[in-house]
Amino acid sequence: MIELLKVTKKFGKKTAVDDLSLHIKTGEFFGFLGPNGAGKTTTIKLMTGLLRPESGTIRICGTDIIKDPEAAKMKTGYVPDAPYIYEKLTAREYLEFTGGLYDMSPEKIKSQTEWLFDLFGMDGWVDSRCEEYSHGMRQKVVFCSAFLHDPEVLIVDEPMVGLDPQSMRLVKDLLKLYSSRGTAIFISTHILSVAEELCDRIGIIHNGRLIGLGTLDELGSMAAAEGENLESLFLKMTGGPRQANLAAGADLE
Amino acid sequence: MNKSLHIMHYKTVSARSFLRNLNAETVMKILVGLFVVSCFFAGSLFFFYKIFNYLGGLRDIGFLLMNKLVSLGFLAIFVMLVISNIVTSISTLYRSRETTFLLSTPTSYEKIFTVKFIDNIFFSTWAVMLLGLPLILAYGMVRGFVLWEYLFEIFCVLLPFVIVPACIGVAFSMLLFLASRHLSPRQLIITLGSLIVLGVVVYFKIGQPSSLAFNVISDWRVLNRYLGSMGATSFAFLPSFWVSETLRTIAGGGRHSLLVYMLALISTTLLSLNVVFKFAGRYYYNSWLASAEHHGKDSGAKQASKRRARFFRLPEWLPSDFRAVLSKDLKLFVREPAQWAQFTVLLVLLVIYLVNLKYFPTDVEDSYWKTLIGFGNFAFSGFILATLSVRFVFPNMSLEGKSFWAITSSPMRLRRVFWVKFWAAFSIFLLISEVLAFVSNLMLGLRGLLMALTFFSVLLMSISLTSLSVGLGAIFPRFEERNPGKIASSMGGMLATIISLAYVGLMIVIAALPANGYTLHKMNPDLPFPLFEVMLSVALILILNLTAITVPLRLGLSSMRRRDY
Repeated sequence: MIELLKVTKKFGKKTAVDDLSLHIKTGEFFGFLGPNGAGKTTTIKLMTGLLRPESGTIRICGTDIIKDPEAAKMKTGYVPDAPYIYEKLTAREYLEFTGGLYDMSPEKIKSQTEWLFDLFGMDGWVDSRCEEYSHGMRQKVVFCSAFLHDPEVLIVDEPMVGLDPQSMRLVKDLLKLYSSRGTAIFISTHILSVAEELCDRIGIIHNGRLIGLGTLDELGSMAAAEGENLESLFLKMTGGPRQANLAAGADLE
Repeated sequence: MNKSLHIMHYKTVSARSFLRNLNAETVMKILVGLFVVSCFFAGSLFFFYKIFNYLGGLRDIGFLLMNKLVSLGFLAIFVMLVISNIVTSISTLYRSRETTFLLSTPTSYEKIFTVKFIDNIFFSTWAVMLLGLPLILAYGMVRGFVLWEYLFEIFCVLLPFVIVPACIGVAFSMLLFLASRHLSPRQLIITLGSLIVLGVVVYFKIGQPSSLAFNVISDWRVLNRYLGSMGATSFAFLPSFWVSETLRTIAGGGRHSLLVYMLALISTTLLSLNVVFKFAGRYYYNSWLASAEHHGKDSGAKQASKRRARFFRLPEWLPSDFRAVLSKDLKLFVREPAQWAQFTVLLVLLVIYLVNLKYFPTDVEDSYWKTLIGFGNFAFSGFILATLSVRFVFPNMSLEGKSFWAITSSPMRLRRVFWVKFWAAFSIFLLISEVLAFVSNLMLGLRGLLMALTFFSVLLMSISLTSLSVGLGAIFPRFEERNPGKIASSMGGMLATIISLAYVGLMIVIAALPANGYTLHKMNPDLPFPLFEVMLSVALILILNLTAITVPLRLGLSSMRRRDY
């Protein structure tokens, strides 16, 4: 479903993603973790064709994103960390617009839209302009547009930012539902409990390099810390304990 | 449906939704804006009509001179459009969140380019057309055009004409971003600078623009000879020349020539479109990637970082909150290519103007011409200052954007934020304008009283224009917009442009009140010194500047205080 083979991306002298290889299968729920600036968003932008790697190959459902970007994007749903919405369009108009970009028929757009609005509990809002929405409502609209064309691959950058607990629960359930229906899901998140709860496998990136990959148990044995929770593992692998100790010993006076 | 049309369709839905949901305040702002734009349009039309009407009345030479002026006018518009397209393309084709969004969807790069190219033409052209249209209309009115001739000029000539500079501008920015992959910013600036210098040298070698003014001043017969010899040096290969030729042939008959020039224009337009779309098909995405990657680039060695830190260190005697906001504004300006690129372009234009003055005769003894040249220079300085202030000072408050909370939630008072913006802009403005006044006066051989008057007037203009832009920028902020170019070309920005230009115009008119009497007095000391006119002029200048300084600042500050953040 999603294949990254020896992908490297540099910005000037800085290597943002270093020789990254990943393979995410159909229906797999993959969590991508890492401290700030580790290379998570760069990896996602490479997968969505918004950046081009210096070397390596990225395939979405077998289609090379560089050689045939339109076909690869047709199979992808993407929720960026700071999504762009046409403020003056209503949610319904926005989804009709997005559906058109994915070559969906008007009938299919209509039926999918109704289903998604119902699912996200947006019925009373769909004909108001997006500029009137709260952050959570906007995030719902963006999720609706990502789910609209029934993507085979879903790439989500920080899915829970700004959502209230109800919406978080809803998004988690929906992501699980799509995953169980065969959609490969790739999420990047800072909320470790979300990754722990949802993901089949987790990858940890640090300074552009993949330093951990596997299930929670596999990561535990890698870090010689079986039985520990994801937070402890993550901190151990990314140098967090040192910072935590420094903070604990800091004299705030 | 074609995806470009699909996107355009939803852009119109968006625009209709905006128009349907206007609140009273926005309607009021739009109406005021439209009124001022209409006044500017009518003013330009009146101005051009007066000039053409005067020239049309001159025996033998009038129409010839008129055609040369139209040709020169369209050449200026052509250059403005190329520059405007280059600058606007940075924000429409590259640094636009909509473009990033569209690129993440299965839409081909060509289709995205088509939509953004149309956006680019619209945003970079409409304001320039406030000069182009009156030029054609005024010419037609003097030469007795009928309705279809106006329509023909607007749709068959002017429309293709604006597309050619758009193609050149957009192709240039694509090349620029592609080159940025292989060149460091410093190498890029040196290359661009060299190209500009080369262009300026070629322009002066071939065009000799100032000799037109020189000849007008010196001798009508020389002017006749000059105009006759201009055939080979009027940039006959440029669309601006073809536009003026279509006007001339419509007015003077000769349908065959009309057809030739129109076909030259249309075929060049089609060729430009074909070339730029082929080029974009291959390189637009690569150039977009280059611009996106430029953002993520490692900003370099520690040494460079230390140098920059030193550059932004402001004097210790400035209050710390003042220093903090000022230093932040400077950093944001230097780190935003759309800002410094346009600032550099305007400074280059200024240098071109100053170099151009070198070709002016400095041995003009005639007081009348001396005064006229002085006023012309004063008007140009005012025009440049108005442009600079609206483009760079007006968006300043809006650019605080969503991060304005960081300042409003701090102990710093809003009034102080206002003053930081004012003083920072004013100091830079004063420096540029006084250097401009000094060098241009020196080049034109103007000394003594005229030079002192220019210094004083430029000082007043710097204060007033800065106040106008700071105040109006606070009254018409666009916090949701991050692109300074778009903020400056918004309705509020247009209003600021027109009010600033009107202010400059009034300053010139008021300053000119005693000019005639003073010149006559200089030529013949027996005639009385025009004391009343001088006093009146001084009083009016004081009233005008006090109004321009205090009213916008007061209104701006109270508008910011009323706002929620």
